Amino acid sequence: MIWVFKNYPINYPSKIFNDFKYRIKIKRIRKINYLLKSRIRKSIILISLSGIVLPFVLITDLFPFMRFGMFAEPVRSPVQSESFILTYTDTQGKERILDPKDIGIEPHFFYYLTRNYYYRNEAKEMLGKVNTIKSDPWIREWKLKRITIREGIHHVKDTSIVARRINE
Amino acid sequence: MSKKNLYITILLSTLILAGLVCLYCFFFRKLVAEAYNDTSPAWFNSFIGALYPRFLVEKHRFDLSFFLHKGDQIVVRAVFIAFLSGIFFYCKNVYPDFRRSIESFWDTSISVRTTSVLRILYFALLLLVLREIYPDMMQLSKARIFYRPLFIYKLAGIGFPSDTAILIIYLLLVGSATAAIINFFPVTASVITITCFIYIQGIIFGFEKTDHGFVPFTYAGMLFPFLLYSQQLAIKNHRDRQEGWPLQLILLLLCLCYLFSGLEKIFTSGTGWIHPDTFRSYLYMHETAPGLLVAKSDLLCTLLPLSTLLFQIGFILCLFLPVLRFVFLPVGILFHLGSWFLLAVGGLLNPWMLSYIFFIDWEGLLRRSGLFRK
Repeated sequence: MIWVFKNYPINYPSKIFNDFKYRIKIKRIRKINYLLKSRIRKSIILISLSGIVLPFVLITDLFPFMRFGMFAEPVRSPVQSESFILTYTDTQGKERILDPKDIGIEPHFFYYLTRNYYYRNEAKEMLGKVNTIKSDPWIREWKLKRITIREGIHHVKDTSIVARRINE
Repeated sequence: MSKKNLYITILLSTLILAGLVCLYCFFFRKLVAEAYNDTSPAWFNSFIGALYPRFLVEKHRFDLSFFLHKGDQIVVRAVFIAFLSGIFFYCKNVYPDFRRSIESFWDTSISVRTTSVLRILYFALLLLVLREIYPDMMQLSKARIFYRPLFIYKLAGIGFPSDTAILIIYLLLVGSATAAIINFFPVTASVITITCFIYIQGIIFGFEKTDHGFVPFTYAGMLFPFLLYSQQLAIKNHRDRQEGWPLQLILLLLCLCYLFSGLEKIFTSGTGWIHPDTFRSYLYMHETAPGLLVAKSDLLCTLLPLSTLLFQIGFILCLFLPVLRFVFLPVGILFHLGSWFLLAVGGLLNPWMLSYIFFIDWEGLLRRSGLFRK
């Protein structure tokens, strides 16, 4: 209370009282602000931590929060060591491998795309879509090929045609 | 919290957790098998479709045991996290020293100049790593026929943007990042940059492949506006130091990214992950010249995954023992460069490596170099 008497003469009791009330009010506002700030801070921390923990627990991406499962699985079966290629044949019967960049897709994206279409049994549909993008009249045939590494022998690969589309 | 209340809370949480585990064992586990055989109820199918969209593809790739194992894993991981949270909650309430150290971790302050350095570096590096995003998006627009929006985009009705929209978003991204670099409305500019950045990533992930390369930059970016806001408040109040919790949170998340990468390997593969055949198979799949050389050695195919695992699990120590940053950051750079050489993953401008800027003591560095005096 010393500050009160330092600043004001004794004959101004109402002013002293009002100032005192004002100080308490300010203190209260500051306290509320602090609580609000700390609550907001806690919420942000909690949301961020949940965002990183939940994909780990649920074993899935929850965009924009990601699960870090890349390279986590042991390679146990041939289906985990497979790749796909798309080939097209010209009018002279010459077969060429499609560069995924020709249809606007990066090669590492292309593998997942072909794999997903293959396992969803939509390989023919995929060839149709590719044909729409790369609609050169001289392409006679499209083929989707699956390449697997033979179990136990890493340098020996087997290739099989999994879908075919012939342009009329 | 009193000790009695603490024990009641722990007991109740344990009971709820045990109940959930029982619910999974006696109800949900059967539903997983039914979903695999296409006999599950419609609500469970939509639930799986939303939460685990790859199920449709993977059920043709793997047998039922794979999915049952995955279901069990969710329960094991939930129990693991609940157990860790329980220990944390107990220690926080019982040991005052532990509580104080947690509080001091979040109540730390940093120099406003540190934030300025990080702001310039982060947004400049973001522009650098995204320098080819416009041609990439235009290239992708050729393949828009393959676009399958992410669940959240599907809900919001966000389709593949038109060519004009791609240009506008790109200009907005570049403009706002530049504004953040030159400190022109930095908070608003950072919010716009990060929104564009996340939006673009979501569009790219709509082509059925998730790229984890940008994760550290995304997490840091999402928290950056808070760091800048706190800096603006400090400047407004003529203070030289600002609240440091947003930076602490960024560091914690970056460390957790590594920790969870390591834990994923342990939970998914156990000790099988350090078996030479596992690493060798990855090397053969990616077929790089140095990778094929390494694949010939059993010793290297064991040592490299083992050291990766130790690095990922141990990285979080950087947070509590800053001196370890001198060890872990160079090892991290070697790790990411190694992944690039052996597996062709990432590159020289890998955002995981670039995110190490948050671990550098800029204040001390600038003071020592004489550029900044208190």
